[in-house]
Amino acid sequence: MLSKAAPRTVRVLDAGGNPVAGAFVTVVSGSAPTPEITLLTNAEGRARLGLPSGTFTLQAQTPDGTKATVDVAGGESPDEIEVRLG
Amino acid sequence: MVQLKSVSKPVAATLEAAAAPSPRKTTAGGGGATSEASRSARLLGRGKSDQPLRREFVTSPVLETVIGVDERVRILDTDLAPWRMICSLNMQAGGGSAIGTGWLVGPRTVITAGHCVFSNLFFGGWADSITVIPGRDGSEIPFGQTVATRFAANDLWVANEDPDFDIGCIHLEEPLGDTVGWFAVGALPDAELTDFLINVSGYPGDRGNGREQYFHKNRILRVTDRRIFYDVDTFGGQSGAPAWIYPEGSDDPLAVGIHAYGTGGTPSTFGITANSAPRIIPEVFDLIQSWIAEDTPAPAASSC
Repeated sequence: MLSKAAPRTVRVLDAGGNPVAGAFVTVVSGSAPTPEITLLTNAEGRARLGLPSGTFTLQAQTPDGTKATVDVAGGESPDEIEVRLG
Repeated sequence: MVQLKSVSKPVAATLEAAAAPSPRKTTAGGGGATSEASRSARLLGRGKSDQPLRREFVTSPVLETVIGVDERVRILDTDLAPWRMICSLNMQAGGGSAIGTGWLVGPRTVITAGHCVFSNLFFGGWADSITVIPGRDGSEIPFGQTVATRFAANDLWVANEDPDFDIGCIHLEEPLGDTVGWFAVGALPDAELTDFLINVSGYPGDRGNGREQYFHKNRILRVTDRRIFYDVDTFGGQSGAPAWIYPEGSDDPLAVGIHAYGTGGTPSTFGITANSAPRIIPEVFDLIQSWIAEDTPAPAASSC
């Protein structure tokens, strides 16, 4: 059940380490069911998402098409997930 | 048999009595907008097929929800049916935002994924508001937009976020469906669903930034008690999209599922690579009917 997943934060940064607002964050691959919703990062470059136990690939994409992916272990974790573009 | 109960976002509301039981198939609404035939309608999958539609595969798919080569097609005439019945959704919740897809099932009722209206993981609970834009095409908004704040889901989704019941509803104040029309919905038995070509169209985040409608179709691969699995390309943002068929001899789109999950939601024991939708089973059908009834204004009292 998705209710057993734990909410975490993903942060999208550009090559200079600056937060990217309005980036689209999606789980593009995973070993467990994840909803096909796409989140938008806020002014701090952050978005909230939850991942059940398993392994997942997140993709961040800016409106102009710049994208990057990161592999993440799901489940509870205090660590913020960082996706760096460029 | 599963008992489903509607759960609504807490607002002051009076629920109308649910509609009386009826055959588990509704009738599509054409809407008052033009009945001009869509040129994109030639893309639609109709009826059943002995074989799945051929597609080009790569040995290592990059994305789980785009299966092999991306075969999605952009729909440009979104001001025509059935595309105009499909809505771009912009959700605002918990200080953040997200995009998804919904579709009209009645004049004031939009169906979407449960996680588009309620999610502990993404929203910390209910969405605050959702902007609904039917038939959007980039910056073109042919039928306007409306901001909704009344939503509903079912108790099994709200309590457990069970993917099999990832179904939600957006109640509109304006009868947009009277203009754009709406999908029929049907709870079909396994034998009827098997081998149907299924259509999925919605607003992905990877192409068009959630503002352009993309479509794909293929044959239903597998049907379980509560889910439909299909080899149809989708991407994040298409959550909540209608999964629909055309029975033989019918031009009315009949929704049989609500697209919600990528290939990670398909059990590996099935031996298939597929995306999936919670299926419209009789209990879900009845729930949708109750939502439509809730949105149907009571007839004016006679002054005689």
